Amino acid sequence: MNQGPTLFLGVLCAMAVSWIGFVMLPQVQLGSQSTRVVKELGRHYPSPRGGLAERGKDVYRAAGCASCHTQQIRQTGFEFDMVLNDAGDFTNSVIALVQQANRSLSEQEATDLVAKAPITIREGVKKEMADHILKLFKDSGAKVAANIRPLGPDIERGWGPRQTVGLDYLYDQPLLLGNQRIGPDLANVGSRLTDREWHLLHLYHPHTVVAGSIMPAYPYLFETQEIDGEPSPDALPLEGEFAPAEGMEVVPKPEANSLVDYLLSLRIDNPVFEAPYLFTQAESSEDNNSETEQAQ
Amino acid sequence: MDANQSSKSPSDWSDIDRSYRFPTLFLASKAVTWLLLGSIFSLIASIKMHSPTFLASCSWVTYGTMVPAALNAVVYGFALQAGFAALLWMTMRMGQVKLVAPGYLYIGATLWNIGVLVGIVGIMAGHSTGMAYLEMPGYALPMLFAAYTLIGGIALVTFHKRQVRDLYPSQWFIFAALFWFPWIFSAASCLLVGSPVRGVTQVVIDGWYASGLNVVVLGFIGIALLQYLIPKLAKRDLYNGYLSMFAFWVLLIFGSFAGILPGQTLPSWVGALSTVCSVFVAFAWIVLAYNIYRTIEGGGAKSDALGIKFLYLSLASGLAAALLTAWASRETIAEVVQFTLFLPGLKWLQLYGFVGAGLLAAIYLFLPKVSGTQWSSPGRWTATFWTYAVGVLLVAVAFLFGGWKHGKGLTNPDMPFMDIVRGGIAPFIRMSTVGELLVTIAALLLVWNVSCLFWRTYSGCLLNCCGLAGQGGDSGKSQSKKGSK
Repeated sequence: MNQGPTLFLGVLCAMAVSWIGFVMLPQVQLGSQSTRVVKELGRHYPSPRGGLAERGKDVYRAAGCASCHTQQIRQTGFEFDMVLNDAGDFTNSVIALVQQANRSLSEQEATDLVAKAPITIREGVKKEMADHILKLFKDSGAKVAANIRPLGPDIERGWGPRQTVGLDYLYDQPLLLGNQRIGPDLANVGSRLTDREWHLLHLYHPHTVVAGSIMPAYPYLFETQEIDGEPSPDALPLEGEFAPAEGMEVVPKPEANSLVDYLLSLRIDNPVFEAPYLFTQAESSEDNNSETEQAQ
Repeated sequence: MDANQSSKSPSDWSDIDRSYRFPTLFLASKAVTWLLLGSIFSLIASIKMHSPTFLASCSWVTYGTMVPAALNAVVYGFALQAGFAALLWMTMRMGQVKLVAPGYLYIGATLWNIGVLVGIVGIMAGHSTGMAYLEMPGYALPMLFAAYTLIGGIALVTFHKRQVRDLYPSQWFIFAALFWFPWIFSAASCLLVGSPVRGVTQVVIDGWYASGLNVVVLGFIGIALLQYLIPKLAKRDLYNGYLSMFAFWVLLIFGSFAGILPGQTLPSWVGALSTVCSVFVAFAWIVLAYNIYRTIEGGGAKSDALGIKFLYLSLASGLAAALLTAWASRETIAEVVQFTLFLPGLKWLQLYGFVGAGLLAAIYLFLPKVSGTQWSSPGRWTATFWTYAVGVLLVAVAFLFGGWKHGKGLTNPDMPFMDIVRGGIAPFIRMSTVGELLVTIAALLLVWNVSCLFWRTYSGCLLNCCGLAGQGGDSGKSQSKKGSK
């Protein structure tokens, strides 16, 4: 029997299924995503990077930095911290409620806490408990908020305040998410390491700032030139074994500067609807009810 | 049912083989050269990890350009090219048909090699697209596609003209791979490089392309080789054609969805679907491995000890890669191994272990038949096998174990990152460097083997042509082939 035609049709159907699954559906789901106003920022998010940072992204792509660095933060869940923003007028009943909300507190401790408002009255509770505590304080006159605290090793390590979501990368073309963490995650490196000079030294030779680093050096981003009269203000402060020869200085080329601009532009420092975190300035308990629902 | 059982006489076989002599030598010699180049690139990348200033002053040779250059050289230069050669040969043998249009095959193969070369130089020059498995810059991709239309077209026409109409299981796999590659390659090129989609959809499509390339295209070439060569060497029919058909459809339908670990910044259904499909793929692999195991078990004496060793390495690596991928895609495991060295470990098992070893078996077994020349030094082939096998396993084991430790470190927020580097990354990369060195040596031996054969075949033909040896008809034909090249 000639199975050729059956085979051909079968392969064609499999191709169609495969294409619909991982090409069409993601595009239908995410293709029309656009920037949106983020309440905490008061403007549209995300916004395009500046020109220099965009040029730096090219340096990042060309050197293949994404082979060792991811730009995505994972989150395993979240908890709530209960914050008493304002004790209101009925202090005595609020003290009793604080004790109910956190049974490990003695009356004296609860009184002290209430006097010090705004203050956290209980840390790390689950959603159900957070709802329960908010309900307790509902008609007490006190203002209590549930602050969302994302959980996960990446976040506890300090690599970012929340998980990254599709919205964060709307302007990234090509998107260099990376899938290797031979080096640390860089999604939020612009907020974590803000010192420009540190980045330049690190690129010139990682051992100048991180002993034992396995990151390769990128000296081709820098120029070693003769000191012409006055030393250049951009010259790297290199010492010891890294210092250039007498009468020479190391200055960053434009590529190095734009790469650092790009690194400093990598920031995940505002909550978005899909990934909320810590609303310290929450106004009233009703408002915060909606926040906890958002986090689900 | 075995299509190799033939009514053809030996002279017909040699006729078929001869029609393919120089095209296959051309493809195979280029392929092994790319394997050598790719291995050298990975070795350089690996050394850079423990010596930060090694070749640091050149922007062409950063870790981040060497890793994709190595991957692309091995995938497009070696695996796909040698894969085309192998599946053309299997198509001809199983269909008992001569190669059609060898002249166009040369053009296609030359264009393919130019495309890969341009692509890899482009990556090193900093024009990489940044998309895994598709790093070659936009200007190289149309060349590769045009080259493939010629090569794949010739393969399909040859397939269509087959004398034996019944299909042997390997032929389904070959047929599907021939269709799948241009489809995913063109779709991914257009959607990621040509007119790119926005945001994280790129990552999903890139993952889809990588899975399609690994599980369906390269995977099917590897499986076709296993199912064709092992029964031949064991002198037995394949144990059960239906098991093979079952595995074929499961891999075809679910294969391109497998392998995207959950936990990345992607819609969560992508990871979930991928996990389910990875389990199906692992199941299909168990069925395949059982089928081949039963074939070998009942078989007589193995007619070629070294060839079968390559094939065992290929089968074991393929099965291990499929099982480990399914295991790693469980959410609790993925949390640990995601973003670690575990992933390059899987890649090594799949690409060098499964596909690479299968293709080396094909080169080892096919080339002497096709060229009519024996290997000059069987000892060198034994050395090639052992250095290759030990090297590949060393790298894979280093990355898989290292990846687990690396991941355990990453999931423990109290462990400083530099401690993870010292304990979970650096020692294992050092171990993998040794393995990569062995693979480079193996690739060097391989190039030596193939060059010797190449030279002997050509010089044999030249001698024939000058009338210094008999069989004038043969020599005339070969000489004209050489001329057309």
